[in-house]
Amino acid sequence: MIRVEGFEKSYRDTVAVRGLSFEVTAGSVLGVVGPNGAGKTTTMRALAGIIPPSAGRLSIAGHDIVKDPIAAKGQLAFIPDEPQLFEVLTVWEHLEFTASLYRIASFATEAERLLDQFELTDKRNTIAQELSRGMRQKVAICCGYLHQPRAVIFDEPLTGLDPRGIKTLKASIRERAAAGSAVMVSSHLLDLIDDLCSHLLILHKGQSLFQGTIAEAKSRLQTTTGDGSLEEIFFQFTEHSHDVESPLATP
Amino acid sequence: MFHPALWMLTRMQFCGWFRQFRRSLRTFRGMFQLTFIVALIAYQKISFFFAGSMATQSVQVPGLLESLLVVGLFLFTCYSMIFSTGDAVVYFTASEVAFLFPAPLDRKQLLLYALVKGQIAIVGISFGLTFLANSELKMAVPSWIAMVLTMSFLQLLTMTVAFVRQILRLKFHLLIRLSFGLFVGAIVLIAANQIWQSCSGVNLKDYEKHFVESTKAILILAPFRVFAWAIFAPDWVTFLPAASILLVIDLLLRLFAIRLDALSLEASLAITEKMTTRLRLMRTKGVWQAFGATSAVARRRIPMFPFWQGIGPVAWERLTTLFRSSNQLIWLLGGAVVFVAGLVCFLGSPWAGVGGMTYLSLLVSLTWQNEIEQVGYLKSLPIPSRSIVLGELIGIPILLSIIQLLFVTIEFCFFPSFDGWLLFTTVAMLPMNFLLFGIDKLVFYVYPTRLGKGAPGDFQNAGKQMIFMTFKMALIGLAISMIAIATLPGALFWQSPIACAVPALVVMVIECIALIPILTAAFDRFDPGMTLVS
Repeated sequence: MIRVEGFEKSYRDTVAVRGLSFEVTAGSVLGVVGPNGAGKTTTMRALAGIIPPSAGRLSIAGHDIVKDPIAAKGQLAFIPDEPQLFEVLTVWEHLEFTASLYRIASFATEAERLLDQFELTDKRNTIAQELSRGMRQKVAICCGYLHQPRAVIFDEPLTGLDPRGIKTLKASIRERAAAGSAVMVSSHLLDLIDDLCSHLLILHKGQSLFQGTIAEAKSRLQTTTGDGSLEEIFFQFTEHSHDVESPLATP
Repeated sequence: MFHPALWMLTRMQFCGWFRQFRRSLRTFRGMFQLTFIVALIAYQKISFFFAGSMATQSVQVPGLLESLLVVGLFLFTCYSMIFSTGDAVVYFTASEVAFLFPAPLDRKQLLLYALVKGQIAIVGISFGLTFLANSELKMAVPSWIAMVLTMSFLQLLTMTVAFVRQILRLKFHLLIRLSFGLFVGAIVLIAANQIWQSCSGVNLKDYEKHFVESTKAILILAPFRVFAWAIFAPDWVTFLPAASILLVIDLLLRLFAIRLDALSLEASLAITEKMTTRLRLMRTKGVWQAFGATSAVARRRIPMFPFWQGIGPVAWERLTTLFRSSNQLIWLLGGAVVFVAGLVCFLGSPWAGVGGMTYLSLLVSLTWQNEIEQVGYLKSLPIPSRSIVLGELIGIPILLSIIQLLFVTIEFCFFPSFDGWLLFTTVAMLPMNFLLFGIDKLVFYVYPTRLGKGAPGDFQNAGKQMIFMTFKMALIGLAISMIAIATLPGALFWQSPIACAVPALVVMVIECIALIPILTAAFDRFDPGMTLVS
């Protein structure tokens, strides 16, 4: 569903991502982890069509994001780390606008359901400026879900959410995956990745250090260190990348 | 071609701003703000009406505004050719990037949306300009249309130049780009030099005769004259052909810009990130602090000051922050010095320099923004409040005074006869700056607010700003009145400048000293926890 082949992104002299390839199949949830500056957000933004790739092919549901951006974006939802809303529009107007953007003829029922799911029903006529950080995040998620995307990309989705919001979001991600969507989640919260994701991608300095299922990562590391926590896996890969890359690197 | 959702967004945003505006009007601050703006416009219109009816023909220069517009357009074109990066033209807000970029919209639709958004802003600004300059214009509606077309031309020109640059950067080798840049730069410089030679040594009244009527100027400025014809058209017969030409130019540029669009969206993304960061800084740190801080400025080091009961480290931090994060302020100060120097040369009077420098003090002190978060940190320091207040306060007035002193000293070299009052001005600058910034600080501690906090249509915040500014102006007025009163005995009994200046200076220093305990008390009383939310 989400396919990245030989992706590279450079800004003048800086190479943000080099030769990255991975795939997120329908129904799976890929957790993307890596230290700051690893290239997570760059990869996600390129997949969302926000920034063009310097090289490589990125596709959503079989549509190339560069050659056929409209079809690719039509199947995608990208929820950025910082919920950027239109300050003077109400919550409902955001949904109305999103429906128009994705040409959804009758959106009201689904919009009501999403507002109810994310406990925003009583905020429907509140303007974005008056919403808290967590509520803004929920609005961004509702807008992302409205057009039933086949691929969903979350960049640090839990920031600002209350425990109830976190629980709802996790449940909704599982729901989407179960319904056949491919979900990609970038987060520094390793517990979230461990809890939610079926697959793992570890990025470091713009390169992939590991990709595979969470179970694979744990089992591989257990053979070398005897510990299988995701935190341990992360540090083994990123802090001793030269030592662990060769035994654990995947084809 | 224009996606219906983009129309919907434009419409909903306008409705949203209007809704905010209506809500603001239900509050006292909102009403106060609106009344103030209406009163200001009414005052401007009335004063222009009386000034216009009283002005004699000898003072007015017929066609001056028209020819200034032509030269202004030429200069802007030169500027665009050399410096335009298109950053300010194709700009998307952070929310537009978040919603529109990942949405199923193509590049042309996004670019068109940016153009339409710019166009709407241009229509509004042109309306305001036409209203304000109504007395100078022969026909209101045609002038408004012509202004829209002229401003669109400026927008599209900047955009086109930026796109050409981006394509050159993508397609051609650095040497070819440099050669092209040098070629364009050379043409612009030659043209600018021709104009400079034509008008050097000419004052404003003779400007029309000496410069605009010269052959070189006629040739160089010919393409820009059509804009002035349209804006200042006396009748429809003059307006229609000129406006038609402008329309064709704009349409061609628009088509050219859309075809040239290469990296505009990526570039706009970069500028969006920059602007979002800047807005965030503006809301948390203040207007001046929101500009230009990069790691490169870490080279600007100031040696650590001695402790001086805690004043030294606080003053050092303030000055270092100022040097490193306020490129705009440094540019403003440098620009102001150049402008005032030009004014002195133009008018041939050193008083223009003194006036300009005083205005600079007022401008910087009135636009300076204090940091609410900073106060919380300062309050936690093991330093007496008085030292913190002094440390916070002395940096900017000293810097400003040094620049002003340098300027006045240079001026003194050119006008040696202008001694007495110049000396007084020189001596008075530091206490005056200290007083202005001290009053600003005092008002901030009593009534904390920020300029960049509000959103479009948020008249409540604007009203708060107005109250803040009025309070500040009232205190400045009180302080200046006391200084003025101190000069009265000297003026009435001795009629000597020194007899006026000395008491004025003494009162000014007393005011500065008196301000310190008042500021200290206000600082102690200030509760960051109570004001962070506001």
